Parts: sequence; C-alpha cells; structure tokens
Amino acid sequence: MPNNSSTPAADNKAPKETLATPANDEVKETRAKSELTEKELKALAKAERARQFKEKFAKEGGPPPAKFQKKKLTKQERRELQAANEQAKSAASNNKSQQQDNASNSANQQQQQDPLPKSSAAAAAAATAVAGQPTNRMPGNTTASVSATSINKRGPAIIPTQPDKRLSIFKHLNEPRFPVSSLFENTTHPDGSNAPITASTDVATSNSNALLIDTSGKALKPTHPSDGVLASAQAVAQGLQPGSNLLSSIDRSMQQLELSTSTSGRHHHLNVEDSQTAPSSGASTPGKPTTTATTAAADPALMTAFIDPTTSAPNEIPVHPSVITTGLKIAAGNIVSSDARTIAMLQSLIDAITDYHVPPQQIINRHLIKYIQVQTKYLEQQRPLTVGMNNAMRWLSEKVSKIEVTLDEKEAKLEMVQNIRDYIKERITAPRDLIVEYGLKKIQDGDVILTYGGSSTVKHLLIAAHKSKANLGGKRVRFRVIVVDSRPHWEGREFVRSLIEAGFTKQTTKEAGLDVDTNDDEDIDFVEPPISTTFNNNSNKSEDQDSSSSSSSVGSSGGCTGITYISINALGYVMRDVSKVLLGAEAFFANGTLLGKAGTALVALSAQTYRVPVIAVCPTHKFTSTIRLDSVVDNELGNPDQLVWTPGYSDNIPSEQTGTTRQLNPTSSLSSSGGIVEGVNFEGNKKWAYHSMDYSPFASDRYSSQPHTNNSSGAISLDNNSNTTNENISKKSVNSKSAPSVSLKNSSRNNHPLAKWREAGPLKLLNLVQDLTPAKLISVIITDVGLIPTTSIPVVVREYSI
Amino acid sequence: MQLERSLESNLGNLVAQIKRSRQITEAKDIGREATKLLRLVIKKYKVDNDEGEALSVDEYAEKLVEKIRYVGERLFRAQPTELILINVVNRVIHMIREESKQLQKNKYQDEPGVEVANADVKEIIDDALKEFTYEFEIDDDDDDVDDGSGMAGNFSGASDGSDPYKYIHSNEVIMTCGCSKTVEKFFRRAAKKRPFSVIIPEGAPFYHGHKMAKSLSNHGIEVAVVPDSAVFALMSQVNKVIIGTHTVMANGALVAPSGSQLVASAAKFHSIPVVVCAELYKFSPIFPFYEKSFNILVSPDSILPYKDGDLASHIDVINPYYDYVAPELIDVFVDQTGGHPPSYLYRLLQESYDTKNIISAGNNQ
Repeated sequence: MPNNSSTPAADNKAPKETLATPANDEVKETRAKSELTEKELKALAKAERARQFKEKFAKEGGPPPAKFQKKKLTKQERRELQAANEQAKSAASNNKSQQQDNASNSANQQQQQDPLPKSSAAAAAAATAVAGQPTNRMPGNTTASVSATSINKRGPAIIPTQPDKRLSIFKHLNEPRFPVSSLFENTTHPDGSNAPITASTDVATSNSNALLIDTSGKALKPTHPSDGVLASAQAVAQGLQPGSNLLSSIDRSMQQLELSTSTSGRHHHLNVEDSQTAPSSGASTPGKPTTTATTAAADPALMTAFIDPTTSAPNEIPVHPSVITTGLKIAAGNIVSSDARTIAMLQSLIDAITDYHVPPQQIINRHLIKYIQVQTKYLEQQRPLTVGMNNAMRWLSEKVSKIEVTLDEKEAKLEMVQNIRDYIKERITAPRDLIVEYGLKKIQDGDVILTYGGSSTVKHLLIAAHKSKANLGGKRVRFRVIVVDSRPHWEGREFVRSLIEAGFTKQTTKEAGLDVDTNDDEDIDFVEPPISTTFNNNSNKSEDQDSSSSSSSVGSSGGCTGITYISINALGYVMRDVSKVLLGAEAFFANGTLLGKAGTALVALSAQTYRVPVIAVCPTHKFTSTIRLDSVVDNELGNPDQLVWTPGYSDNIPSEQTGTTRQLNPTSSLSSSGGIVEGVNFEGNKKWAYHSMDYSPFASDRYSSQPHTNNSSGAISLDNNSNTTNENISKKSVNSKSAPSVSLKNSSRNNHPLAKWREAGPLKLLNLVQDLTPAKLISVIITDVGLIPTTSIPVVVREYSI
Repeated sequence: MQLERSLESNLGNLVAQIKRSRQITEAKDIGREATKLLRLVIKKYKVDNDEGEALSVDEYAEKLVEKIRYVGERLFRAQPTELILINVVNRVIHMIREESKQLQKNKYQDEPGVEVANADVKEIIDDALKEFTYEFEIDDDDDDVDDGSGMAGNFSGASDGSDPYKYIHSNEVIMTCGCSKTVEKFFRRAAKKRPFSVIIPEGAPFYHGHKMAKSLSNHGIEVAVVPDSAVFALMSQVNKVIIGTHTVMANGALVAPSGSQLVASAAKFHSIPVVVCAELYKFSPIFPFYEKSFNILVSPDSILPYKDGDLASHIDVINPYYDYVAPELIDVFVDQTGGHPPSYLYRLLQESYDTKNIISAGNNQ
C-alpha cells in the first residue's frame, strides 16, 4: 500500500458534513490557501499507522524493531497503549460509519484499518506537517524546524535563553496582549538621562544572548534550551493519537510549546542576524545543514524521542490534535480573519468533544469544562483569542455546565456538538448573510466604495452587490471598489484576488454606462451617480472620447466597474472620490470603539475629513460589554522583524523560497544541477531580481545604482565563477525540479537600514497589530440585528445577552 | 532666444536629470542645481558692446531677467509640477530686481554722478545669489551647536525662533515622518541637550522612515519604527509632531512625502501640535487650486509586486509620491528666521518673491 493513499479518516473530522455549508466554506477557504491540509491529513494517518505498528509489536510481545528498542515497554504501558488503540479504533469506525456515503473514502478507510508502516519517517513527517510545513520544505535540523516553522509568521520575538529566565519571560508569553503602554514609560538610564525604553529593548538583549546558542544539527543536550524543541516535537507527535491517554502532561507540554515558540523566534532572529544566512522566513534552519529532513527522521534515537510513550502521564488532559492543527494554522497566519478563526476553533472543539471520554469517577459537566479549557488555553498561546472567540468560549462553558447529569456520555457529547454547530450557524454564518442583505441596500449606483484590509464580511457584501440585480429595477448597480492595504501583511492582495475570482473586472466607462460627462442624451436611463464627475475623472480617460457609443450594454454589465488598489499612505489621494467607506471589525466594545486591523482608525479618520460616511460591518457575536479607551493599553504585538524590509524580501518572496536548502559548498550544488543556464528558472530569476532592488521608488534609480552588489550587471549572478572570486558573498541555490540554480548575492540584507537593528543603538521596532477606532468616526454599524449607531452597542449586548 | 553653447549643454543636462529619469528628486538637490545653473547664466551673460554701454542699470537688469525667464521656462517644461524650480527662478528674478533697484537708489542718493558699471551689477547679484545657495547646504558636523540654529547650518540669520530647544522638551515623544535632512538636523541639535524619543512611521512603500530611523539612532536618539498603519494608535502617546516637507504652498499647505497627511490628521484629531521644518526656498508663491496637481504617481511595483502581476490587468494601482497636507492641519512653520503660523505665509512670500509677477509652468506669456 502506498503511503500517501491514506485518507483524512484519522483526522476525526467526520461529523463535519452536517454543518451549515457557509461555515464549511469558510474553513475550506482558509484551508485551500495553504494546501497543507491534505498533507497534514496524510501525515496524521501515517502517524496513526506508525503508532499502531508499534503497538502491534507491543501486543505480540515480539522484539520491537531496532528503532524502538531503546525503551522497553512495561506491562502497564502496554495496557495503556492497548486502551488507546481501542479508543482510536472506535473513533475510526465512528468516522467510517458517518462517512459511508462517501464511496471513494470508504475504500481508503479499509486500507487505513490495517496498520502497515512503511518508514520510520512517518511519525516525524506527521509532526512536520502539523507544524505547518510539508516535509520537502524542511531543510536542516528536523526537530528544531518542526516547531520553528509553525510560529514564525506571527510568533512573538521574545526569546528565553536560560532556563532560570524562563518564568519571567513566559509571563509575557502567557499574556500575549501585554500592555504596550509600558513601552514608553520613562526609566532612568545608567547615564542619567531619562529615556523611554520599549519592549524591544528586552527583546534585543535576550536575543543577543540567544545568538550564543549553538544551533548545530544534533546538539540537543538535555539542559540546553533547545531541549524544549525536542520535547515539544514529542508533544506534537503524541498529540497525533486521538483520544489516547498517552499524552504527556498538559502543563509540561504547555511549557514545551512556549519553549518551542521562543525557539522559533530564535531561529528567526538568527536568520536576520546571520549575514551568511540565506533569506528565509524561518523554515531553513541556520545551523549546519548537514542533516536533511529524511536522515533526521530516520535517526532511531530521534524516532524514539518522537513517540516515546514513557513521557506521558495518564491523568493529564491532552490537547486534541485537531486543536493543535488549528492552533498552528492560526499562529502561522493561515487562518487570519476573526470569523474564520472563531469557526475554526469551534470546529476543532467539535472534534475534541467527539473524541472526549469522561474519566472514571468524574462528572461530565465538571470535567468537560476543564478539558475544553485546556484546548482553549492552547489556542490562546498560539495567538490571543479574539473577542468573538472569547464570547464563543463563554457561551460554550455555560452550555457545558448546564449538561444534565442524567444524560449518558454519548448523548451529552452529541448534544454539545449539536449546540456548537447551531452556534456557528446562528451566530456567525447566518448573521453574515443578514448583514449582506442589509448592506446591499446601502450600495447605490455610482458608489465608490473604499475598504481596508481583508474583512470576510465586507468581501461577501461586495460580491453580493456585484451579483445582485435587485436594486436598480433589474439592473445591477454600478460601483467601484478601492482596496486599501498596508504593511506588513498586505492582506488586501488576497482580498483583491478573491474579488477578481468572483468576477470583478475592470470595465471601461463605456461598458459601465458611466460616460455621463460626454453625452448625456444617451445615458439618461440610469440615475446619475452623485459623484459622477470625479468618477469619470478617475476612470480611464481614453474612453471619454467614445461619446457617440450607445449605452445599450448597461443592462448586461454593471456590478463592480473597477478595483483600485492603494497602499494606506495614498488615502488622501483617493478619499475625495470615495462615497462610502466599508470597514470590517474584529470587535466592538461597549463604548462604541471598533477594534480592527491596525490602520482602520486612519481610514475612518480620513473619511471623516472628507465627509464620507463610514459603515462598519460586524455581527453581534463580536460585540462585548467591556470597554477600551485607546490602542496602546492592550494590543497585540506582531513580530518586529516583519518590519525589516528589503523590497520583495519579507513579504513578497513566497513561501517556496523559504524551504530552500542552504548549501555550504555552492560549487557542488552548481555541478549537481548541471551548472547555471542563462535564462533558466525565469520564475526564480524574477523574484530575486525584485528582491535585489533598492528601495527607491523610481525604477531608473534602482537599475542605475546597485550599491548592494559587486557585480555591475545586477544582483543576480549568473556567473559560475563569482563564488570563487568573492568568498564573502553568501550563496544560495534554489533547488527546483528543473535544477537550475540562481546564485544570489545576499549582501543586500545587510545594507538595509534596519538590518541588524538589534545592535543598532537605541533603535526599536514596534509592530502593532490592531488599533481602536473611536466611536465618533463611525457613522453606522451594520449588524444582524439591523443598522445601529455605535451608541446602541451596550443595548444590543444587554438585550441579546451576548 | 539663444544661449551660449556651454550653457545650453548645462541646461540640457539639468533638464534631463529632472525630466527623464528623475535622478534628482529631493528639494534641496533640485534647488541647488537650479541655482547653480542660474548663476552660470548670469556669469556668462553679455550684452553687445555698442548696446551695452548705453544701457542703464535697470534696463540691464531687465535684460538679464529676460534671460533667466527663458531658462526658467525651459526648466519648468521638464517637470511642470516641480515647485522648487518655480521658487528658485522667481526668487532669483526677484533678487536681480531688488539689487538693481538698490543700486539705482545708491546711485542717485549717495554718489550722484558716479556711473555704476554693468559688470559691477553682475558681481553684486552674484554675491546675493551666493548667499542664497547657502540655504541648500546642511553641514553634517555636530560642532556648531552654539550658533543656536536648528536649520541650515551656515545661514547667518538664525534666530531664536528656529532654536530646537524651544520646541522639544525633555523626555518628550516626538513623531515625525519622511526622511528630511532638515528635521534630522533639528533633532540632532535638540538631542545635544535633551533626551527625547522619536516615533517614525516607515513610510511604505518608499521607506524613508527606515533611513531616518537609522541615521537618528546612529546619533544616539531613541527611535521606534512603526508601520504606517499604527500612526493613529500611537498618536495618543505623542507630545509633538515635527515633520519635514518637499514644498510649502502659498496657502500654507504642504506637498510632503506620501503618508504625511495621515500623520498630520491623526495629530489634529488628538490635538497634538504639528511643526513643519522648512527652509525659506521651499515656500512657494503658487496657490494650489487642485490638490492633486502637484503630485506625481510613480511605479506601482513597490505596492503590487511582480509575483502578483496577474492582478495587474484587472485593477488600477495608484502609488502617489507626495501627499497634500491641508494648512488647517499645521500649527507652525519653522524656518531659519523663526516660527510662522500658516496664515502668515502670504506675507512672508512678499519678501522673497515679486508676488505680482510670478512665472510658472502654466502662465508664461
């Protein structure tokens, strides 16, 4: 049986198909982004098989294979394994019964039933996949990168370096929304001057310590801080066994995960600091790349470490693998929007509850709450929970506490699962449809709608408006969309992409029937947009000459007539032409302030300056009765290294680039790839060319001045000999299937003004993730209970007991 | 009108630098180069001998002005939205007229009967221009603290009003934006005596803020770089906003690096004073009747990278280089001579320009 023929069965997602479809869409959407899921699921299945295989040996009492010989199983452990296996089997058969309508799956199910481990790499591969990276992207030291890859995109940059420092640093990690205000408190410096320090000061000091850590592949000494990485890898690997009691103690795994978080920060940091390090977002380990992914996985000692059952304590509550998967995806930035995160959390909890068993001598509603709390705590450590998630959790624990004791376990679990599904449907997906319905009435013909970031509700509304024919007597309303985007995540690009995929196109003014300036007589059959002159001003000027054309196509065209994409700095340039601003929200507080992606307040402010109405869309499940006054007291801090920028570097180089292997000996890679052929690997060529550009806005400057390279022809060295001429230049080979190599002079990293910022004097980077928009900047909120002013939020919260 | 061959090549060179590749974009560089060229024009200027002897001083000056005007129009055509060119040409013309008027006055009052040679007129004008060029120089050495000027180092008329200590208090948090040499100098002077910290938005997609942060931190000033989107969130922690600008329009509005408007309006919302550091040559006699008219749109590749090129055929990408900052968002302008409120600028302009006869890209003959 080929390894990759296994199915998602082991993921225990079986009950999913009964969910409301929009919710499913939401999750699918987010998953499709990363194409990791498929691999993850396979990996999970592999892990399952490996475990069963191991357990088979344990059962038969035969000699375990060499790789398992290190630890002999005691009787009790065997019993535990057996119990775990039965649980897993029952879970699997549960899945099976629920998936029987899926014919193609059931065949695979059969295969999945008989455990046939193919390679010892299976479990390691599983761990890798859960950590958010497929195996083939994993260079260097496997154990380290397993955990490193997961957090890098959003991981906090706080790095514990010595075990005794852990507590104080973890305190920060445990409250990830630690107050920013402390950043600017005045402290007396040793030199007597009073200068504010920021959080990054601490980061800088701890990081410089972190630099001292040896990162070579196998150096995982017991007392070494990177020990935590191994341990967390263990935790992840063990977490792959659904419902088993073998998982290690939750406290311990929490600690380990914290460690792994921080260790990943270390890796990231090293990438920044090390001038020799090839560009990567953290997937490539900057250690000695002597061990490849496969060899590391095949190492028997490591293998044992991954699935060593002796580390587990049966009385502790495990984190469910589905929750781990979700948490890592959230941490990696694969699930971004607050609605999607809430739905993903609830669905992983459905999985967790399905696999839940009440331990003997426990009452379900008491113990289940603890169980759920453990899951939530894990998620919170990956990224702070949104208000919507917190609301859902509060609702859920209330529901759990009200479980009738008379119900037997199975019934209670079914009821809870049904409750959660209802919550997703009633509070998240159905409200969104309502909001779209209300919002459609606010989009009029000729509108220029400005939106910021990548709100999913706004996206649904705009797509519905594009397709709707209701508003204009059977004709589609015509509107233009301006998408404002900002650093460092550029979420607007994905937003624009999804709009285009939904059929938004660039229409000429003629096609859109909007050339009102030029010949009014023929165009009187639609309501003249209030801002038609500015509209035309911004539209394609060349079309204005086609005044004689008729507007017969108005009925068939319409919808969105064009998308304009700007960075947030250009707000003032476009705002005069805007007729409405649509903002998504992460939460609304009782005093009417909007919690949104950083920059939302600037958009609202700019709109107010130009007297443009600001419409916020927010389902009521994201309302909260708490109050916040400003964005500094309580905010989420992003990774400061995201601000260290070389054009095309940190956010433009796609993740494929991160998986490239660093070669110590570039010559060998060149020869193995058959040398460099001019013009080959055009794709990579472009990317790197982009990367090498100076940050002058004018292209000519970039090409004329190439201060970063010794090679006057540009940053891309297509010259085989260049590595011999300049040894200081770090080399990087992009390994692809066609095996061309682009060697890159990576020195531009150091020429960036903020490179080595941690060493550069009193220089701090502060990457705020959210901001608060004051209530007075918001004209109206579209919610599922109707259109309300910001002052009505406490009323809604109270009346609907949110 | 004909120019000498060497002048023609100099002019052509500058036009090409401004126009084709925008090799020089900074206000200071453009101003310095344009002034250099105009000084050359004056130096090379000759009237025909038979005619020249007969000319009076003001007739001579007017002929010189004609020449400058011709060169100026050629420059404007290279980059019609470049206000610095307009400022420099008008300023030079104004200086020629002022000097010739002064000479006339002296001639009749002090030493009646003594003829002023036209060659002397050239010399006197050139001296005035030389002083003007000092405005474009900012020295980098830190030793000249005691002259009190926070602005252009060599400018002699430094006054109390441009003293950075009058604007920055100890332990304040200042927000700035862009990468202005003037502001940098201002901060460095202030940092001599007072500790304070600076928040700098990075200024995506041009990232002027990164450079500014680097150079300030090199001089030991506490700096925090934040994304542009966090400007509003952090504004409540800021005591003052001190920014530079590309030019200042006659109504007190700024044509400043893109992103400045966000900073200024966020400051206004939080009632935080906005100080604009600008040398005198940046004050333009032109009124903005359409706020986009002095902006430039540059290549969008910095906000929509090549790998997202498939989107490019479906959307418009706008990437303006400058921002229009309305005068009501600004509290005070600081130049070499001191601080001025925006409403006072029109009066200030009358001293630098012949405000009734402004030549610009649009209105020449």
